[in-house]
Amino acid sequence: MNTQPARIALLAFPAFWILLLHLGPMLAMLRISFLESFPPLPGSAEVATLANYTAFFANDVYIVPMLRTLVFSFSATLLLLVLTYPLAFFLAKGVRAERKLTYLMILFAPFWVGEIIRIFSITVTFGNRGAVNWVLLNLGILERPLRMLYGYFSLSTGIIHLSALYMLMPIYAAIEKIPDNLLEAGRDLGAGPVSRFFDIILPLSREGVATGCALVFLANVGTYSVPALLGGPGTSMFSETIGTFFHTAGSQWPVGSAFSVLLLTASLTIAALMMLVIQRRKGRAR
Amino acid sequence: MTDICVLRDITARYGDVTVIDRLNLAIPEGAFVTLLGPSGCGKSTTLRMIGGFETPAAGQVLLAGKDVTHVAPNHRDTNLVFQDYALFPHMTVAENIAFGLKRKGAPRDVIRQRVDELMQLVRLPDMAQRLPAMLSGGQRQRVALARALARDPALLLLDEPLGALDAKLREEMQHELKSLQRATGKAFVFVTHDQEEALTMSDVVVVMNKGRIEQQGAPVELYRDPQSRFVASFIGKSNFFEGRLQEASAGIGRVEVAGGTLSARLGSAPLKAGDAVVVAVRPEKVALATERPQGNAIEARLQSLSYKGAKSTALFADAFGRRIEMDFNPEERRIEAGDSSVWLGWQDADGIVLAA
Amino acid sequence: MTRSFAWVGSWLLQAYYMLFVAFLVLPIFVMILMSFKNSEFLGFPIKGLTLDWYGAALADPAILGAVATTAFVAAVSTLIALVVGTWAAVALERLQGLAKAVAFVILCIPLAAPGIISAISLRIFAFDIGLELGVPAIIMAHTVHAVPFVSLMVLARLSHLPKSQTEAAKDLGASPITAFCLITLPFLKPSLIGASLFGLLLSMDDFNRSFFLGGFEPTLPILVFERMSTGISPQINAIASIVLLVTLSMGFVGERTLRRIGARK
Ligand SMILES: Nc1ncnc2c1ncn2[C@@H]1O[C@H](COP(=O)(O)OP(=O)(O)O)[C@@H](O)[C@H]1O
Ligand SMILES: [Mg+2]
Repeated sequence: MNTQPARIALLAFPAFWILLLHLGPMLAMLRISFLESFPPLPGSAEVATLANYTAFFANDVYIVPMLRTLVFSFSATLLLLVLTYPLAFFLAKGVRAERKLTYLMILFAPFWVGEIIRIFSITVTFGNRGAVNWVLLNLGILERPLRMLYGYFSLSTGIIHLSALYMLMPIYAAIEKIPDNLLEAGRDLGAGPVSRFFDIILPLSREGVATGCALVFLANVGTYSVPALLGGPGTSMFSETIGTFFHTAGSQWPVGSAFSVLLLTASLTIAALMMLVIQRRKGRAR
Repeated sequence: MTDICVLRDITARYGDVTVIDRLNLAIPEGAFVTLLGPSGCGKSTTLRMIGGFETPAAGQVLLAGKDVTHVAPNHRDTNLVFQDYALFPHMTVAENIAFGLKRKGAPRDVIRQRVDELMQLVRLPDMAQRLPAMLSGGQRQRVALARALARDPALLLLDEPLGALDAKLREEMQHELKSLQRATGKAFVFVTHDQEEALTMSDVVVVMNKGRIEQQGAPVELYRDPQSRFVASFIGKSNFFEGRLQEASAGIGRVEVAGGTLSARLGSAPLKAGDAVVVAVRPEKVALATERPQGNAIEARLQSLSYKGAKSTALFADAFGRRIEMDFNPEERRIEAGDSSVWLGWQDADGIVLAA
Repeated sequence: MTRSFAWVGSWLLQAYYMLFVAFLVLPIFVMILMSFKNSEFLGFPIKGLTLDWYGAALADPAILGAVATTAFVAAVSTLIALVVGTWAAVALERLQGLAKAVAFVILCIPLAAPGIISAISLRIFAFDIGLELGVPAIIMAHTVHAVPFVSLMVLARLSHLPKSQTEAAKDLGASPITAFCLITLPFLKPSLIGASLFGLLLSMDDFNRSFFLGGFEPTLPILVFERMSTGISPQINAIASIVLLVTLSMGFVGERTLRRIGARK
């Protein structure tokens, strides 16, 4: 498309769409977070205020779930990294090319199933009268059922089941891209398997680790269903706090929006920091 | 001279396909040996078996007199320069070169000194802190060389290392590689499919075809005395005249070809009267005459002329459909395009009789 | 011949892979098993099997309604997202430098935003533009969520289309739109199929947006969520198993189709 009008016609619609529907909701949320009341009372003007933000710092009931959310999401991200890295490595370099697709498909299939159904299946499996307890009781390993639901164990299990793919895929893609002849060169120069892993594979998959960690962290912070259905009273997360402000219409929205802005800011900052630390590039341009 | 590396009855297979068939080869110490052959003939496979990246299905690899057939590459005293260099993209030039030394557990100052020394050797001043992505093709080539030489291997292996460079740089690197080999006194095994490159650089050229060695020897020998039709066509160019050997005596064979008989030197392979043979003649040995010359003579018409400077080529065709090439220097003689037939001839000693 | 990386494929990693797959599949397997249990009581042991729960589920008007809502929302939102996402991808290809980077970031907001934040911001937005909670609002939210996924999948393939192809078409007299329809679209076909499938799954499985923008006609995940919160009944196992069957078969059919197209190339 060389002509200017044609170019504008091509670009205008998507530009309009993403500005309105991608940026718009975020801006609407930001705007409301500074309003004293919403929707404004008929006949009165909108009043700007910071009270919605200061409300957060005034109360432990808000601060604790926020901190819990960030710490738990971060720990769960690290846990997933440790759990999936060997898998990504195995799939990328340990499976013969003609079998790779099958191995990947088998691993992916569970992720086609939606989050609510998977959470439900976890409650059925790990409940006091669930399959796992039943097996352990019958094997005589346990005397009384082990309480596995509604605590950090079930929360982590839920996160692993729902987010593993977002960690696995970027890392797999990064390791897959490492040419085999770099590993051969390593061998040729005297590197054993351990050195080949730590000196070649690990540093060259950094990019993928960074992407995976950021994606998974943001997903963990934002999940509502996992804490709502798998968490307990002692493990309430900030997404639930935010949710409570939106179960009713209108009046509470400004506080909920302000809290969302805080959560978004905090989580984006942490995600960005994680990426920076992991990607730490050597600045060697001369 | 002793041999630094010996391949004894080496066989290599991928699945059911035999790509190297009972190959024997000796690499003399300090020699520049080139494996030359068309793509897919098994050069890389042979090189990779010396380096330890492939284990032969049968046979032995001896390195400095010891059997290393089943020794892993990281425990083998050889190093390989990869075709696309395989430089570690996340390491600087200095770190790349130091990689092999670190694996040996050399002390830091020794490593630093050795890296400096190697960077001097391959003429890469002031690039120590650059990443490979910031280097030109020729510079990457040098880093790959330095990295492979760092561990001071008994034998350096090079798999088409110049393939990715443009023509001019390639020629420059050929000379540099050769002098580097002289300076280090190490045996190099160099793989290429470019015969000119092989002739320029090597002490010994090993011509391979379909997983076997066709012939090996010094470049001059191979050019003068090819022992098979394959070698005669792969190294330099040859005109071939197919026929039947009439008689062989005193090293000269008389060959009956379509339209007459030709005389030429006999190759080293045993031939007897009645065998199907070819006479191979280099284009630069063919002479042009207007009258029928004494001895070997073929009547032909000019087909086309191609100007290539001092070594231009004229292409003739004769009444039997054979095409004959002749090299000539346009500064010394003119060949007129025309339709009249001419005579082509050559000395008996300039042709060679080979098995068809 | 030795494989150069035989050490990587050691049995240890192989075993770990199988363990992990088992861990992922175990709950789903248990759930399906439970859906056949012939007792009100949701727990082990299983003494007998029955298909009653499936019968009950398929006779429940609320469930049938949810299935219809879910299918409608998924189909409409995927269709819109397909057009918009492809358009956005093609447009993005034309941009350069800073404009491209900024456009890309904005395009990816719905993908990267944490679920709860994406959901409530869309709810506020829906209120601002006067969209009632319920099916239309869910469709909007699902469409917005799917667009960046479609764009990314199209972009991935678009970058492999040699520019010379459309240029050749134009050189031979095709208008830009003809060139797009005859050259670019057919080339994009596999990624468009993949994207439609992904969009459908994304919508059918979505919880966050459907939950915060839903009205009185719940989608299936919301229905399951509500029934879970009000007391677990074995019927949920049956609903969930049906949904699972549908999702998995969609996944496999799509995978097959994609592979067949790949094989033809
Ligand atoms: N990993 C492999 N698997 C199967 N066949 C191979 C493999 N590597 C090489 N080959 C085959 O072995 C033959 C020799 O290959 P190679 O040694 O690379 O040849 P060259 O280096 O002379 O071009 C070729 O026919 C090639 O197709
Ligand atoms: Mg090769």
